[in-house]
Amino acid sequence: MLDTKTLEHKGKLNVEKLLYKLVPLLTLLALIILFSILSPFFFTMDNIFSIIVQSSILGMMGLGVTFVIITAGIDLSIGSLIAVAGVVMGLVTVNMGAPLYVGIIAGLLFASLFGAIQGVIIAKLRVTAFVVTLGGMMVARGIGHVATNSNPIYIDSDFLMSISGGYFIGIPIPVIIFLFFALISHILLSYTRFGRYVYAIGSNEVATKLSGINVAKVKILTYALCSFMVGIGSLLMVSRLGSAQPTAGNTYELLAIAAVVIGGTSLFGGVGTILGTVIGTILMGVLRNGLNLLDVNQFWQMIITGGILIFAVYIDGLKTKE
Amino acid sequence: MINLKKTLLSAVILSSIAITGQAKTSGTVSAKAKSYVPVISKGFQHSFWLTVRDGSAAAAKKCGVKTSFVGPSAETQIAQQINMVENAMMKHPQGIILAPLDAKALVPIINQAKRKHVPVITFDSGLASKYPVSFVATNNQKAGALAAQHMIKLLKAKGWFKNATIGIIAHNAGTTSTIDRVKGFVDYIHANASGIKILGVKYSDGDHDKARSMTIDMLRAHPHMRGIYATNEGAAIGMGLGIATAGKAKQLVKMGFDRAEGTIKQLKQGNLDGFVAQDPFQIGYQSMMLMCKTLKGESVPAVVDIPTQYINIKNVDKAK
Repeated sequence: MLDTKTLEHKGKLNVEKLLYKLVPLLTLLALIILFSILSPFFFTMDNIFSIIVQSSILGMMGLGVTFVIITAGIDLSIGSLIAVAGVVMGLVTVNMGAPLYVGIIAGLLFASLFGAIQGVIIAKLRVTAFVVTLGGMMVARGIGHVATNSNPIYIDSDFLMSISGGYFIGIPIPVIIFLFFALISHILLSYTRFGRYVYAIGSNEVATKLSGINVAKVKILTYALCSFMVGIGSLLMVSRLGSAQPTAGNTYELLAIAAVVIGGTSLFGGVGTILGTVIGTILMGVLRNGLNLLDVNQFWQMIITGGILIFAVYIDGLKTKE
Repeated sequence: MINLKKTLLSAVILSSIAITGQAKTSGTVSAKAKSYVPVISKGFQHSFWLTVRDGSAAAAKKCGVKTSFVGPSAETQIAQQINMVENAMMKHPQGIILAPLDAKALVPIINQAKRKHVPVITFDSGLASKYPVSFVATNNQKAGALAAQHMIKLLKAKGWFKNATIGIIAHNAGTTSTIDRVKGFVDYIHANASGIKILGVKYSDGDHDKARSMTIDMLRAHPHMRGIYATNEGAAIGMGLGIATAGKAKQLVKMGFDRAEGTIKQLKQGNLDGFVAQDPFQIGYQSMMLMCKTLKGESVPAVVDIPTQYINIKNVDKAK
């Protein structure tokens, strides 16, 4: 029998849960207000755009790995993939003399294939995602260095440079690219069967499999999709540096995963949104940018960022507690 | 049960206290009280950069300019350095002093400085652009040649000169300081010792551990090699450690680079025969002094060569 006490209790829980969900957004707003007060250079259109442009590479990685994390998986190879996909783009364009767009497509294909292979090993051979992608991280980084003898590959192309440096209707192109893929990801995750399966696998993989869904196929697609998004990030990186650097993206995987977790996605799977990842990415970008503007030592920045990450995960844990 | 609002509020307050405690409130200075010239170096990986910082800070104090010193977490983090220059631009500096991690990758952001008429001075490594008003550095090619000169001298003294095999442990592949220090060394050897064979260059990114492993592997693969040369502080320290581990100190002529606590230690322990010492304090000092001159409208030389010194066990304690 539902008595008034139970109803009140349920009402309270809903409001609390909503507030917990809003923590990433509220924290972001609080930081924006804080930095706007502390620095006159923060709240300018130029700077806001700069934040998103600087966050766009990590943002693409975050979008991709959100899918993986929701399935209760992980992908540690994404940082190395930024480098090696770029190396493929560079090799095809410069060393093989193909047109730039061919090089770009080759890099994206390489990235997606790399992700798919990891997915196959994880889903079919049943090796833990952490281990597979950790190995993948080393293999990818190694391939990048071997293929270039550790030297950067410079690509001389105005078009390439314009991808990260250009504007379209007054908005920097990397911002447009990031928001475009964020929209695509959101649609995929929230409005397609594939998206529903992704959540289902993360919530309860056994039950999902028993209800007839091809879990292995969905998982493989997830890892391939993740790596494809990282491939786009790699293109942004190559454009920003004007070259393919085998050292690019070093340690980026942890920053990308941190942004996803801060945005409310649970590492245990089944919970998370693209909007959360976007907020988490921008939050970390705002933090980085704001602290830089205030001349805060970058190592203090690491302490602060780490603290906020732990705080975010704590709040995330409270969401699911009764 | 935690009170969410209170926790959030206190977290924000605590972080703002921590931040304002750390920050030099650059934003709230009254109008054009002092010029602001940030220095973006290659990072903090080597004590070299800390000395550069001391030099630039001393010069900034002398000419009454406000400055800051930042650098990426590793000398491989080119994208991070670009971000740092961008962030520096956001603070509307009167000038920028930069040690580019990559001669080409940093050009677009410096072009932005050009568009905003912010003078730029580069140091340590060059930039593929005519915009900087001055480049303050060790002449890296001359420095490499100096190392080669002493390498040959020592090889002759030990009777190993004929057909010797030499290895090179360089730092970061894409940066001009590496390229020039290798070129200067190799060109001098080819011109003055054609019988000497030089192995393929290994890039350690200036990481002690990587340089150490590369040295050990190189010595194992070429047990009869007679000379080895490292192109920066990190590479030299790692190389020294590798030589010690392999126990090959007495079989090699060992050339390092950069005066630092680590390289001096390696020298005294016998893992290095000598090193080319730069003058990072002067590099930082001159860069900032030239920027002050530029801001006053005076002209400055396009290239300033900060002399190097060869240090071995005989003069290591005498040197300044």
